Amino acid sequence: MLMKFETASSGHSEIAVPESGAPFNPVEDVIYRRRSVRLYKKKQVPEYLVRRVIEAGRFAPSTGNSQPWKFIVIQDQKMIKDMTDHIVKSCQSLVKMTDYFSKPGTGWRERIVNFARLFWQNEFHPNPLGAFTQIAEGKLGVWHGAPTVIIILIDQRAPSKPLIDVGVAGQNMVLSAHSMGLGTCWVGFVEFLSRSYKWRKRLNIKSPYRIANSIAIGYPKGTPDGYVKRETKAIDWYDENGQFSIKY
Amino acid sequence: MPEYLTRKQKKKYESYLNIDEDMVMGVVSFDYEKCKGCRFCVEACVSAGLEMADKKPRMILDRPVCIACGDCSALCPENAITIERFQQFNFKYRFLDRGEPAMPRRF
Repeated sequence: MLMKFETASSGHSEIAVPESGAPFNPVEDVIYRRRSVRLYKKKQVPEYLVRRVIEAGRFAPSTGNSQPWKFIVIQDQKMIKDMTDHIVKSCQSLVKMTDYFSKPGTGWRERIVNFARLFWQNEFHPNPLGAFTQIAEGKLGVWHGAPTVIIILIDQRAPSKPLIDVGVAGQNMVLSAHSMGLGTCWVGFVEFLSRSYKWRKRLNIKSPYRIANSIAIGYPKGTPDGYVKRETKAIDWYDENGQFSIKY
Repeated sequence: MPEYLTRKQKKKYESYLNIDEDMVMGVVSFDYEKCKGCRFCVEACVSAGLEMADKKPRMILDRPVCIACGDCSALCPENAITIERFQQFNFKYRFLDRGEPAMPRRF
């Protein structure tokens, strides 16, 4: 049976092209003001808002329209606490080998990390290593007390680069959440769960699926969204006349 | 011209035994006249780089951890925090092709 869809006034209304120097439109404003939120209220996010956020992810572009994602929504506070405990424990055991950062003079840890960087240079970047230490010491929360966690899985059989497709979908979700007054934060440490048999079984994650990332969603404490300074990056620019220049 | 890593830099990893020279981390500054001590910045800091001293926040002293994300300055209700310096690593993990930091620009 065919379903009937409501169409919004003949498909699309015309979108005006702004003049140079015109003020930001609401979409741009949400993009520029979005800050990662790490301080949440305890109030639970209602189901319709979470569904609305995921709906934005469902309409993300993907390679060959493969849509290689699956979402797990967790609003069970005990489960979030159990997952946090598991991640903290994993960090503690990892940090024993890698934390040369806060214990200077222990050269063998540094040698281990430098060897590991030959194979996993992104995972052993100094930034995440510092975060592992903070989590192990209990200074940094994993989901920062957010009442809702969305875990994003990728379908590993998908064409080309499913991780990028999932990232695009996640960014759609995050921006739509911020446009509705929610706060979000990307949390990649959830990947520790996919290395544990117990958690793979409990979350029922099976072969073509793999945990990619997670998003914490909740009502922010205070007003974290706002403009900040970010560094500019060089842009190589080949203009119409064939001139090359670098712009910032 | 665009920056690239030299072959030596690609091979060499930074050693954090000498933290201040090998890794330049971010610095934020506080305007203590505006600050009311609400603790939001300390609780929200991702790298746990802030602490309270005499009911006012400050950067922790023992090791540099700030990644200059700007969350504290955006969250501050009194606009008392500014980012003074951005992070930079050495050798293998050096940031390339950076310009001056800027607020969102309208072209």
